[in-house]
Amino acid sequence: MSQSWLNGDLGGVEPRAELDLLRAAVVEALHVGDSVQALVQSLAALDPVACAELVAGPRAPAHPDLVRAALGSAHALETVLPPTGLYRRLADLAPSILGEIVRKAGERHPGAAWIWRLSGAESVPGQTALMLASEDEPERAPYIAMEHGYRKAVVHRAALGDAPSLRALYDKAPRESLLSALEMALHGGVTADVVAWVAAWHGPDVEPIFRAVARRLTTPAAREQLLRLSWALPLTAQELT
Amino acid sequence: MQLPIPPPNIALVGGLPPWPLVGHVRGSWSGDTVSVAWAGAVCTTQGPEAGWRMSRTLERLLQRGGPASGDRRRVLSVLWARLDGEALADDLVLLLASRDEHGVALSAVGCTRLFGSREGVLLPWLHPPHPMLTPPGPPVERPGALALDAVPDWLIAVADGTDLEGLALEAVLPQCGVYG
Repeated sequence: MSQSWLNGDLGGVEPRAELDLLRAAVVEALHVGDSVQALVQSLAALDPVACAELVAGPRAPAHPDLVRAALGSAHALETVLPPTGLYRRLADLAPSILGEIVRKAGERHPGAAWIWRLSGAESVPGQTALMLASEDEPERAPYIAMEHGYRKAVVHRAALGDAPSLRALYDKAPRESLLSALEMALHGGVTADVVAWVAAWHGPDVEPIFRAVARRLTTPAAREQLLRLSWALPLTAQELT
Repeated sequence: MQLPIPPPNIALVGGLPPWPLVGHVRGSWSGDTVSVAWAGAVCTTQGPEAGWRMSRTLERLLQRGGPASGDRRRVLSVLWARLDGEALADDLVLLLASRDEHGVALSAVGCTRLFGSREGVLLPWLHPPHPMLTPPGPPVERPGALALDAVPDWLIAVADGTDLEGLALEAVLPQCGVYG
């Protein structure tokens, strides 16, 4: 019986009456590493209320694989649970995959303000929400992230070489955040011409900024990269040689 | 000991985001008998990397040969001469200003209006039509110089017709890349 259920065959099952049995089958499957995707998918189609009880109710097993299965049936679950509550509950059950949960929520509800709040529990608060928002509004997303208090997420994204995030830090954050992001970017191997970028926001007098960055760089590769970019900044080049 | 003559305070307002100050240049010399300042922009539509490269080229050209000597008109002519025959982008905007013991001289390409500061507020100072307000681009003929006894404490140029009238100088200066 359990195997056929795990295969998604719920013929003859009365989900609400047999919920305890279904839950036990899920717990056993998760314990041995079997997939519960098909069971959840079939249950969601058969009885979304019972499915919501199984994956997000008070006795729902707290396991990332079950939450992933729930995300696969999000459309059905959202017919019986308010999205904000559903994804918050799934996040509570599997905080280790909060990024995946935020991504699914963001795909289904692009631009919703509560996505930012949900993302606030990530290890880098707001990281996934910023990534999603940047797909639609790359220039504006970092500013929205900082309005939510997620400056660290903007620094991390800027450190990957994201120009809009760097610009937002230049515009709105304390100078220390920009310096930190530039330092992280150079240490991380970003090859973009960040000197040219900053000059296009700040004006030509960028030497003080990059001298400060130069003093923070500790690896030969990062120092060499900034030296390459500092062909017009003699004092910065002096710091690096 | 003679103190250096301070150059006129000039600046050029930046453009629109995301790269408002792309291609900008700004600098000055102070000499015992004459000083000069420049503010401009070049290659502003090809992205920040191209703008930075071209702006450094422009800066280098203006500075090559060191501080120019002569009176306020001559030093402007010397600076323009340093650009002769150089491959500069055709969106060049450049305001030059010099000062000697007799007064100030101005020369420009690509500026559409000039605003002057008065008690910290910007007011219209030069508007079209005026021979100093020309289309952008490397000048075909050497631009003339407008000689004056004095100018406002700050002169702010715009290249796109922006109206700065009534704005506080201190609010506009960061838009020109001028801080502190």
